[in-house]
Amino acid sequence: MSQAPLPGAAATHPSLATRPSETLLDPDLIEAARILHAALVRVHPSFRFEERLANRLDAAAARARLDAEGGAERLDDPIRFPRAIAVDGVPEASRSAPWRAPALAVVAARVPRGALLGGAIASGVSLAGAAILAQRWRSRPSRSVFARAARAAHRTAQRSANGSRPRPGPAARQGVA
Amino acid sequence: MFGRAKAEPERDPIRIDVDRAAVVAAKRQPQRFAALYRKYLPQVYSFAFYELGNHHDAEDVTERVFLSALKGLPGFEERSSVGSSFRVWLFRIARNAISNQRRTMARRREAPAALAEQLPAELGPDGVALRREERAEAWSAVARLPADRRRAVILRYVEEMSTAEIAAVMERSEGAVRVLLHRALKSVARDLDRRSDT
Repeated sequence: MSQAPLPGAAATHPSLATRPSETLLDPDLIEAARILHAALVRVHPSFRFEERLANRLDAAAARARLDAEGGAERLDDPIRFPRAIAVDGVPEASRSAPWRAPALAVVAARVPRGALLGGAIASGVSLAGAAILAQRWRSRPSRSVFARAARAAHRTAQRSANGSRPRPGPAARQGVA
Repeated sequence: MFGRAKAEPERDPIRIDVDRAAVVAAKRQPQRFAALYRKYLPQVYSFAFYELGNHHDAEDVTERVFLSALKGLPGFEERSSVGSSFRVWLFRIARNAISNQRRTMARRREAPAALAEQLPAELGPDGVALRREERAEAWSAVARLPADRRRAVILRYVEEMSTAEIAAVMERSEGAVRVLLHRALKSVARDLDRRSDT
């Protein structure tokens, strides 16, 4: 390394020195720095990437603004999708706000009408069937011993009131004393 | 490497953050962050690209950096030192994201891409002055540097940062950064000299 500073080295390549008062001394280092300065150029990303990220940031910024305004309640659907879905090579983010799920009304509009009618009929039939079964279950006589005894007593009382002879019970019919 | 003229006092040229107005505006209205994004996208992307060696990983890292920056902007506080400027803060985020990406790449056992193959053939006015072979040799020499020296070189020659800014990004002292740059330049010079001999 030579000890004498090269006059004009820093002035010729101002970015080689880190301060105005600094100068590179070694000619080999000056040459290496010159080559690095020329070779290490800034690289730009693709336009497509730049726009995609811009859209994502825009969406994130809008969400941040809504959150800051207490906008969580304003969202008609709180489900959030983390990533935009690309359709036909065009990111969804470029067409609409990708950070919210669509409202339920929008989802319903996308569902075919036949499916909606079929679903409604099926649920109606199910409800009617359940009602019939419940009605039948309620009208069915109870099989408990006390219920049977009560029904027999009720029938006997009715026949006595009508003047007819009471019908023998199962034990009398079988000849049991 | 750097001789210092005794007559000139130590002065730090950057005291006021040039992005102060944009940062204040973005804090008030997150959508104003777009100005900072447009300004720093090529810088962050270049940093990631030279560190990782391929466009795909550079895009991943760049995306994460800006989303993190937007999210963390309300917590960013500028102080009256170089180390707390928005640019330094952003590059610290980038440095961490790049380190994480490098760890992921190491786990995936990915071979580092050859930088020279990834860069465009035409580099514009600065690149024209340099022969194509010379450029390729320079990139190879940089790629062979140890990680901290390479990072210092990239911040110095790609991002054109001052020693103070590099020190703040790398969380080292300015003296340590000067040593890193000096050793990096010596390695590159030796490498280039060896190649020119063969």
